Amino acid sequence: MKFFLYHIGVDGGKARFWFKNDKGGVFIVEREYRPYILVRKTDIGKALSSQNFFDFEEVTLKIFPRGKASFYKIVLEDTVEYHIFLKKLRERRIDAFSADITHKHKALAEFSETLLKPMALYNVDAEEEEPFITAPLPLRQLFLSIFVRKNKITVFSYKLKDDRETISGDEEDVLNELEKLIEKQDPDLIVSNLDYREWNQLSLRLKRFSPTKGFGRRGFPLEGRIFLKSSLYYRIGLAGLEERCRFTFLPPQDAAKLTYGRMVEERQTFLLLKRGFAVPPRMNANVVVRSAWEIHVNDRGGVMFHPKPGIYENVASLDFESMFPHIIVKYGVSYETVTRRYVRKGKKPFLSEVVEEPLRRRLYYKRLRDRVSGREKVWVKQRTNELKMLLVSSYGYSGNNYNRLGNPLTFEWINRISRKIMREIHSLARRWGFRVLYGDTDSIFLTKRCAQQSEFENFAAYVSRITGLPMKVDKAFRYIVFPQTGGEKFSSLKRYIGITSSGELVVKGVEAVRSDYPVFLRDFQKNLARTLFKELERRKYRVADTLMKEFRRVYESLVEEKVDPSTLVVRVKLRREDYNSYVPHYVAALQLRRSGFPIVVGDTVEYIWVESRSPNPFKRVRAWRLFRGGRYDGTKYGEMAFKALETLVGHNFSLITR
Amino acid sequence: MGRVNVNFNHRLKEEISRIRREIGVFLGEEDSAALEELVVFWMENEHVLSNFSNPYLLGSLCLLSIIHVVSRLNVIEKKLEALEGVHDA
Repeated sequence: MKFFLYHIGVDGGKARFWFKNDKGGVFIVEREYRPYILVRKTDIGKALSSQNFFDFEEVTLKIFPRGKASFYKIVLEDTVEYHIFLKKLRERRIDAFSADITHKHKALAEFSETLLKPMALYNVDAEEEEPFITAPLPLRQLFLSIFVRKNKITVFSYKLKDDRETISGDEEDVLNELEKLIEKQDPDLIVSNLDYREWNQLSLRLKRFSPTKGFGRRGFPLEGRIFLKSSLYYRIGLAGLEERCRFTFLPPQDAAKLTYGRMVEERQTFLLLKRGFAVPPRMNANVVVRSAWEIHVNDRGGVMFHPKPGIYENVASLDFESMFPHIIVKYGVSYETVTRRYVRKGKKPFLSEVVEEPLRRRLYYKRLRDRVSGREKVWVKQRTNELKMLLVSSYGYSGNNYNRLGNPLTFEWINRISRKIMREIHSLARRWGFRVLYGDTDSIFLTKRCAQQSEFENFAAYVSRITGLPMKVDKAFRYIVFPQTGGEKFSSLKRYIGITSSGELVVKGVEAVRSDYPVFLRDFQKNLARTLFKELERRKYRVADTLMKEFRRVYESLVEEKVDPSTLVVRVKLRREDYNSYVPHYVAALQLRRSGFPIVVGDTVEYIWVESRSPNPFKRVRAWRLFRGGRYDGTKYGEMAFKALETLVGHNFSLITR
Repeated sequence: MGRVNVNFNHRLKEEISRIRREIGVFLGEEDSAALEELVVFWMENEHVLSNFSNPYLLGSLCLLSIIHVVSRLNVIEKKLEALEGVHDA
């Protein structure tokens, strides 16, 4: 039989661990849980006079980064007593160790000798974890939409397979119906528009009408089920959420609401707890005293090579796979190993331990990504994307003030090593006869006339060998365009459009992938690029006529308003409640609100340009839902089409840059 | 978080816009074109500038401009030599 841990509940003096097995059954393991705080021996007199406690003992624990110290472990009756005690310690300015950590982590650390990861599948017989699964773990799911107005719920609708139903009425009836539905369907996971805090409020309102009822399992108000906001569910997916849980050692309910920095913090904390450390307080001065010159020289980001605008032939982009996590592991960069002058060699550095397993998982799933299809591909992507964010954050958070182990030198050393490597690659590439076109932190674009793909691959293999970091040819471009930046003769970073040897169009940062460009114009730019590359392939360097003909055709159809307006709709996400100026999507959101559509921050607003030159911003665009046919601003769209053309060939109409 | 550091690209663009604003406006047509050529060269070599530990950006721009001028002089010198060779022959 196989099982996984999906929820932890802590209250009073108890901790409950909720498991599911592969047959769909749910079982709980309940343990006594007494929260504790560690206080240094010197502070014990002041600490003990502050409150009653359950028990205390003297313990000797490791302290980070090195050494041991004697502490008093003060055990409290329950979580309520714990928080009162902690508050009193803070008032008396006593440093409390292993204090600002979640109870769930403390309970889980005591629960098992091994590193038990929530949302990881374990084999009971082998007592081992199934390392690399692709599909998310089996959770029974229920999808709900709940409408709350003035703190009262009057309507909810739910989706079961293909059935949708809406229940409405007064609050008591609706809450009871909702409770009945949840009890009947018995889902493990409830995906809705509400977050956990809002569910808690609903549960309290339900208790007002029926004191014995709850939305959780086995009589608990919310325990035993996972309540997830639909926005997160659709953004990272269940497979992504599982990776979060494995990384943070927290169940989904808790991992879901954390920022990436906090997730790194949680992982570090749990690993320290399991390794028998007294976990230091979160407030950390995090300052290394040194000269301004040292800071100036060392505190820099990755290396960037700006591309020269133009059309290039035979280009390959070479990428390091997870460069920063690999630097952490390979060079042993960690909070305790970095000094101002060098990185100390030592046994397993702590940061390596933090990133090593997620790095292994990311590489595994990244390689699997190209070999799977359909649903499997979606799950693998969800896992790799989430692991990428977690790994990048492990590097970014290493110098953060809120990181309890934080040390800015860690962050700086990772950057220093990456810069050194990129400098080496730059000179190596030149020695190999390549020209460096563009570089961005961990990738480099090289070109060489008549070079075969194998030559680029050999170079990547050589770099991997001498740096010890895996590098590969990411894309081999037949042609690539680095456009000019608005009005200047140089190009921007992360902005190009190219075609690979296999005919795949790769677009980054230009109009064809911008959300404020309508589908029609995005497709127009892509088609234009295909035409340009096709003509170049035929060695027809005077492609200006062909492209201008294509542009004129589109421009005229736009100006004469012959294009289907639904393809000219612009979709932009509303990111703020108020804007300082009347930007088009804000105007469209206001138009919708005035017409009774509930638009909130995070919604995608659709609009169409109707009179872009009007002095009244409210007349420039029309929300798409309110557009009842009529005229749109063909000239504005024509100008946008010209911009798309200019990006592609503005610098040079006919020649390949040499 | 944990560090206060101005983005180098931002610093460079600000410096260039200051040069354009305070020097560029008074330059004649040819000098202005020369300045714009230097701007392109600076921007294309942003990685060189950002990698240089010299804290004075204007000094780095100056050094890079001298390198650019010398390299172009070398090219012209070579072309001239080639032309002289043809002429002598």
